[in-house]
Amino acid sequence: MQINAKASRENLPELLLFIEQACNRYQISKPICLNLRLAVEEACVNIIEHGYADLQTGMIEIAFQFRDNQVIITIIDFGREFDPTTYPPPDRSSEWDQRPVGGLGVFLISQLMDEVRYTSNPEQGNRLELIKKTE
Amino acid sequence: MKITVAQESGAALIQISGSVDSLTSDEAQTFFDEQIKNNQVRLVVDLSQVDYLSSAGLRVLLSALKSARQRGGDLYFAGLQDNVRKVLDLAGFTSIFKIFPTVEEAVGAFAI
Repeated sequence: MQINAKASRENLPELLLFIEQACNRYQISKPICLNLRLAVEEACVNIIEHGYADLQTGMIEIAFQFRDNQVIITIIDFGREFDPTTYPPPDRSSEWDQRPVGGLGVFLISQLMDEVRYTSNPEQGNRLELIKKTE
Repeated sequence: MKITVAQESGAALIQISGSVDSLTSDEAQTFFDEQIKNNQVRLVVDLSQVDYLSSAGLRVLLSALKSARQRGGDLYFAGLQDNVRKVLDLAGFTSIFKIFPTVEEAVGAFAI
């Protein structure tokens, strides 16, 4: 299953609904579906707000595959390169008044997925793969 | 998302249902800002009907916690669903927020 949409906040509901519909089609359990939805939301928001920031808004393509008890979600964009696998982990230990308000989205992706892969080149764009086992 | 507030024994009981995410966080932020602006700084947030929380929601809740504590108040959570608790735990929030099983216990904690 695949969806293409303009990378904008207005299209975020459609992109997330696609994930829910794909989970329903493949009978993915609700807890895993919620994790997948969350990871995709975080990835898409980063693309919308940072990947295409100050650039002409481009497209997001999301492909959903399910095989061998494994979900593979591939998210492709042509905005600025941003490899979430190299992003430093956020501060999660300082006191409440020192704790930064942002920076958790990328971390949640890495924690909720079993594997995250990222490649980038001018011809094929930025390709983020989110892999989650269902058993 | 639906978000409401009611007074409960000197605390503002904020009940949220649905998802607190990128699609709803602006509304949630505005709501919490309004409570703080109205000097409601003893906040009990009933999350028992929240089934989904993303980083956008985490930002709103942390921002509200800071605003409340900086004004001499606090923000307590009540009734976390498993996947919401997991997200709060991953984010390191369970070490800085006080969490109660029920609204009654959270409201009661403000009375102590």
